[in-house]
Amino acid sequence: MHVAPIFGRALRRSPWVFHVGTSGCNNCDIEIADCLSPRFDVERFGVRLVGSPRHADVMLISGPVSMACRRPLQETWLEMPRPRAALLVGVCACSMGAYRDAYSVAGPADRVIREVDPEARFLYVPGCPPKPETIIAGLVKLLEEI
Amino acid sequence: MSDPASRKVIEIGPFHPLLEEPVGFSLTVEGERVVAIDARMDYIHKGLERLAQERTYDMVPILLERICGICSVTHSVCFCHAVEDLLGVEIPARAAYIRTILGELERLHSHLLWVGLAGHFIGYNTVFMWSWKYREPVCDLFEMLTGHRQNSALPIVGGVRRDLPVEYFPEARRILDELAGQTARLTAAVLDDPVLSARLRGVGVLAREAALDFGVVGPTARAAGLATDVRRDEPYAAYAEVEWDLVTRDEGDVFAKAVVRLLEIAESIRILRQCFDRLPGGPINLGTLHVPRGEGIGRYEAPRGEDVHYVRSNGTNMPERLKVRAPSFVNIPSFKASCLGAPLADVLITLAACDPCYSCTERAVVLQDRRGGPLPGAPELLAASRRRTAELARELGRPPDLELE
Amino acid sequence: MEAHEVGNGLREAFGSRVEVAVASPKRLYVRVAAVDLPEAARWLRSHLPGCRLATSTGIDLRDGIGLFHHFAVNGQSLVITLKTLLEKPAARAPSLARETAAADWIEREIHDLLGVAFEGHPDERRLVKAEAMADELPLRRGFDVARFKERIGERPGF
Repeated sequence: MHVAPIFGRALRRSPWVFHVGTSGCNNCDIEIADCLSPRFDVERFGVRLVGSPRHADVMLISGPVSMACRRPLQETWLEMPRPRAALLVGVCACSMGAYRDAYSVAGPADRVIREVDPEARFLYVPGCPPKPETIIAGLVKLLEEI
Repeated sequence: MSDPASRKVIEIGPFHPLLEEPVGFSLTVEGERVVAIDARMDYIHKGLERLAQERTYDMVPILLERICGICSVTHSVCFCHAVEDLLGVEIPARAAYIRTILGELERLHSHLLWVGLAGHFIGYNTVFMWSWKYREPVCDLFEMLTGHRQNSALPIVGGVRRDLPVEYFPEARRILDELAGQTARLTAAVLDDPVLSARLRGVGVLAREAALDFGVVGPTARAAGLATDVRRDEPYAAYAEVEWDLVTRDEGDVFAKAVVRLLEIAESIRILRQCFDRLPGGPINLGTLHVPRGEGIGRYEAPRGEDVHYVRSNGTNMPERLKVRAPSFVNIPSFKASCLGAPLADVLITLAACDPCYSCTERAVVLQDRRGGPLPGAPELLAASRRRTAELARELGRPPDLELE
Repeated sequence: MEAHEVGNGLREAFGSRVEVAVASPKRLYVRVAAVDLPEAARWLRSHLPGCRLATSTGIDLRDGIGLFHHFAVNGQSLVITLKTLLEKPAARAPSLARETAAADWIEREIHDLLGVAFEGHPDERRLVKAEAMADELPLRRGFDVARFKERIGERPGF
């Protein structure tokens, strides 16, 4: 397992992220997109939004997980190569927020993913929605932890 | 080419890099032509209407702000309209102006967001970066006036919960004036752009009759020649007292929808300036209200079109039934008229042209980093980026590409 | 046209088959039997230029399922609501999807959440409900979120 440190270094240099919106209200999704827009522009630190989970190191998850989204989210997670981690953006992804008692919600994202991968690692960024500064700070902390 | 054996089904979603939200589309194609299209909406369904039936009238607007991240003012104010229709009351003038200010700020950032995404969908990222850069000051304005970038928690039945901080108005006016020039330049540049013209004119046409049959609303309807706008049809808040023009186009194509939205940005700024100048004094809400048995229908012109809420009360402090009809619910199915027969490459931008929103607290506190000190904002990030560039250059043994000041 | 004019027009055309209530100059509520729904919708769409089906509401009332079709008119402040009471538990109603394309999705949604059977609807698949809830009617009285989640083996709440 001596390749892991190299991966770790590569990951810190330029983490590629894949964004999954799981039936949220899309406010967090917009704030995530805001991180990529000119004012915050995380791309200059090497953070790249990619189009496939197979290219990604970090998954950004926003919104509570609806029952219909559960399987797709778990499958998408398992397609990500190791080492992998998830940043749960917004209070809905962390703890279902306002939708806690809704009938069609399967659970917060961490519980849904742990059903298929008990080893999964998460960093929680609460807020409704968290400001772009908070999301960036969360991402930085996540990369320090890995 | 019309050989059914050559048909293929392309599944898009639920997690697709071009979609912000989970939604499933299946497109049936013959060669390049799309001959059938179907959508799955269950990924996003959370059961919010039932949740609203378990909350009091004061709590419902807060919940409804979370239907959609962009239309947070829309749904909460629309619910208030429905209950006010049930009660038969008029809100105080100051509250009407405050609601107008909130609504127009929301329209501004929503339209700028759409222009950017439309550019992104056709692979023209300059437009995306440019219009999202101008969207930021609008979010700043929102934060300055309400304490939050999108979810203001201001509307309540009978008015608004808190007053706007008048001391920030001069600064808000200054940002607005700056924004007026910037968005005017953006509008002129986008409308003159030969690339966008060539790509979007004649694409995804929604004819007038089809628009009426599908019951589409908002910019999607106005671009198809239907002069419908709740702000004009059933003036609420302060819209009867301020001057503004209805923007319509007859072509019905994607370009016309872009034109309508871009010109509405200027109208929104015009309305906002008048509201800032004329904000009347007086109370901001009607105090505690009892909601008797009855029913009411509220309408509101969201950035995407008419929003309809139906409220039925049985005399308790929670609604017996709340029906929410977001504008996208009627705009999205119109793809059956505008996408069929189109080449595959045009379908995505046609779907995006109705500004689909498939779903439809943090307060002003300074967060502390674990290392102490506030979270880095935009200027700190810029400085960090420059430091990093210099470090990398040093590691690689190269002179830095840019001078650090 | 104002609400009372539309109400008089409907009374002339349908006689005792409609029951008209003018709530305000811009809100009209019309009670009509389920069989007359398509005809009433046709009448509104042909007599009021720019009339469109804004949305429909399904509601589980004590004596039956209420089905309310809300019609708006482009360029006017008028909203006309056609109200029908359907008998429980079967709850059948004629579909408006043949009259206007706007009825397509909303009728599928009401079918999902309240189990109203729309006769003549071209597409009866689920629209908004998750597969796990296929046999549930979440907006009916008596639907219990906690019990439902327990039955399918979900942990309720956080």
